Amino acid sequence: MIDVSELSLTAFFKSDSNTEDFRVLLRRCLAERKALVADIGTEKVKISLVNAPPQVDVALHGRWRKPCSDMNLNTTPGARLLTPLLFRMSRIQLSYSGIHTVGRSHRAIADFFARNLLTALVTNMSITICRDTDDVSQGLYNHSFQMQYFYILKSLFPESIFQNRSAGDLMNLVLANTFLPVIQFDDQLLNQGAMSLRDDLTNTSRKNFSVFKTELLDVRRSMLSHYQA
Amino acid sequence: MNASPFFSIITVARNDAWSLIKTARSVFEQNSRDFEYIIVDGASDDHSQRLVEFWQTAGLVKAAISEPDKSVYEAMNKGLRMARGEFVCFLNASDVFADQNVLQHVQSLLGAQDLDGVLGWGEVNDQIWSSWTKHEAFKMASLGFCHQALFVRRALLERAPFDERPFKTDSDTRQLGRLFAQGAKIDIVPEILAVRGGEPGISANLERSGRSIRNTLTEEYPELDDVRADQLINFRRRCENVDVVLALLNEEQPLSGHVARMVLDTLFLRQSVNVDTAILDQLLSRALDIVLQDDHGDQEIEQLVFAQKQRVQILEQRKDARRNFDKGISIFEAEEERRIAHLKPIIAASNSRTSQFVVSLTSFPARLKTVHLVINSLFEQTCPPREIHLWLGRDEVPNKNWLPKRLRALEDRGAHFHFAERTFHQYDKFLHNSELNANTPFVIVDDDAIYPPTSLERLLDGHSKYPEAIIGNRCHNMIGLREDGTFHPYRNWRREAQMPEPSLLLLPTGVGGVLYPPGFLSDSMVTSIGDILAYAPYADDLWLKACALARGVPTFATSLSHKADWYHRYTPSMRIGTLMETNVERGLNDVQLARCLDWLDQVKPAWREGLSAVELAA
Repeated sequence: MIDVSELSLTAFFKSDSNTEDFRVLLRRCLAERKALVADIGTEKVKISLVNAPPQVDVALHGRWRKPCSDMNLNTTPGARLLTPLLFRMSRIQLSYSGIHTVGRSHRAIADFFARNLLTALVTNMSITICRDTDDVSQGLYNHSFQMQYFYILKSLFPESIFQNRSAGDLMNLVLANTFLPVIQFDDQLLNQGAMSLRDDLTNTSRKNFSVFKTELLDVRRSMLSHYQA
Repeated sequence: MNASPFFSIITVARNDAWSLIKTARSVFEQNSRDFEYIIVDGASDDHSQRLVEFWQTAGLVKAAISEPDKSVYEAMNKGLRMARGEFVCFLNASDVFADQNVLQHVQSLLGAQDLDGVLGWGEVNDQIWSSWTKHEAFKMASLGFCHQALFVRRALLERAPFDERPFKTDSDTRQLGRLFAQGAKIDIVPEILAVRGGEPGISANLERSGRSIRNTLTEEYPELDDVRADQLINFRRRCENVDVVLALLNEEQPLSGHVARMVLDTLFLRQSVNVDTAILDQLLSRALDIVLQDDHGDQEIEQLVFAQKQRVQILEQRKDARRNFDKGISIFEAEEERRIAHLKPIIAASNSRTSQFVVSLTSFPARLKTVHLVINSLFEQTCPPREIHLWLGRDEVPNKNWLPKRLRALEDRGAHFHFAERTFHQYDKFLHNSELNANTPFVIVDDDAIYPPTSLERLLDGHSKYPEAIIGNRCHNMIGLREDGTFHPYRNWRREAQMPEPSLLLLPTGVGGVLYPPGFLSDSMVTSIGDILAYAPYADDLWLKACALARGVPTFATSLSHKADWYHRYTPSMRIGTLMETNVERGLNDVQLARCLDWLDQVKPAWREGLSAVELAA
């Protein structure tokens, strides 16, 4: 009986990657009321079955993109929808109760996880976000899953700002928008979401002199290293 | 265009026609059309007005004026008085918007948030102006920002026009500081919205700009005399006079607050690299303490941290892109070496002969790393040229030391490098050395294609057969004239076409290699810069075709003018700086074609008759 399936990162994002191994795991997850986990590494993705944690439909693990720190999802629906664009995921866990779409055979497995995540966000299901504690460099996190999520979001919201930019640029802009109002969405849901994300960050970022000083010195060091190189 | 457009984009220029070409194109390419474009020319004598005439005919420039100015800022104020848009941006000659979505993006921000303006980031020579504070302190020692990325409500600027005294170089920063002091709601967008031209601006003259900033400092701050002002400027420029700056940080507000922001900004600039750690600690601590005492001071510092992180990220992305590009070039070079090694015996067996003709091309900085591959492919020919001339503009590439080693090494094989005072862009390939064509066939090529080994031989064979004709390895068939006497649109032409005999209907494109018979390019009609700017500033191929029609010189297409036979492959830098999108996808070719026909009607009213008789009947 299969409990784990491993595939390359490319296969995870490739259409038609929805293989028999994966479908077996999915069927078992639903039948045995378990949780389906994707551990997204830099080269491989491990899909596994674990016991479903109580009262958590979706659990996300990873790193906030700087300068965001911990934020919770007790916020507006629009902010929930935008949050995955700010969080680089190393693991996504879908409990059987968090699975609403089983995907189509021609779609990628990544697409299955991204669509269910989006459904969970819009239906206000229970989602936890856990920041990875190990000291993994931000650069090692793969952002392809965020891009997959972005493309699905883009298909639901035909925003003009989505059409004219690359996914990477847009994610940078959403990040910048948590700090300064640099995006104006046509859709009010997203607009309010962008605003409340910004408010959340501002309210949680009051710092004292020494924290600011350390941050300034750190970023100055990174900046000036470009001149010294 | 609306009676009252959303934006007024204003360009001031003086004797900078070839830079203005670049700027106007960047405005033309914007996806938003809700703007008016105004050009204020300072009575240039370099045919700038002819370029303005081109854009006015094309419907881009709404208003233009050409008369002497006392200063750049006087010209900018003049443009402001001509403007009718709700928001104004000054994009001066040689500056460009960062991409085609800038106006659309800024409009969406301004339209939705009841702002007085938006200040984005700017870039010059790979340096990024990352503005972070929305504070009056902008006027302190010319705290840098990119005025090309600033969009401000016109009514505000009209109430606070630029200081236009002739010696001023910092009126824009002083004005922005005053706007913030008056409570203008101008948001900062941490994105690069504009790229300033590489040419030194008025502030590059350190003595002049020092005088201007000193004047601002002593007029704005009663505590500062000339000596103190100079010391502040020295700190800003070279991180000198730290004691004076620390003393000023102990002064009363607002001076200390403004100095604090100037200090924080300066500590992220290149000149602060060698600041001693203990001094850095003192400066940073004191300045930070002052800013944090202000209302929202913590948010300002957050913005500074965020801005610098974004700046680091952009620089890292660029470094990665450069690394990948270099890697791509190395692979390409290795493939080229193998191809040439394979070709050598074939070329040797073909009785390769050097002929008395010259090849000329031009390039620009973004393609310098690959142009040696193009030139190499032109030497590895069954009929190599006597010499190859590469023309560059000193304003882009100052001298031979800036050329990559592999390119310089080609001098031994007969490559000649020339540096014109100013670049004429794609026209550089024949405008500076057209006299070489007086008695010798002259071939022009592009700098982004690897040529197959028989390219030049085909051109010469064509020339031997039809010595009076232009010979092209890649020609389009313009099909013929429509009933109204104009040509069909460019998109309808037959690409990579051939005809059994030379024809006036064939248009040779430079990218395939074109041979001009002796005397063609040396004719003063062909090299008339005023006419080039007025009729085809972006399309040398069309201009040369118009000249050929005026003189009744037909074109012969070689057998390489068939599908992709005319080139081996493109170099990895092909997509950088290409005019294809503007000319083809945005229809500029048709605009230029129509203009060229107007010119033909003036210089040779009967040109259609010859074409009809010879070509259309055929």
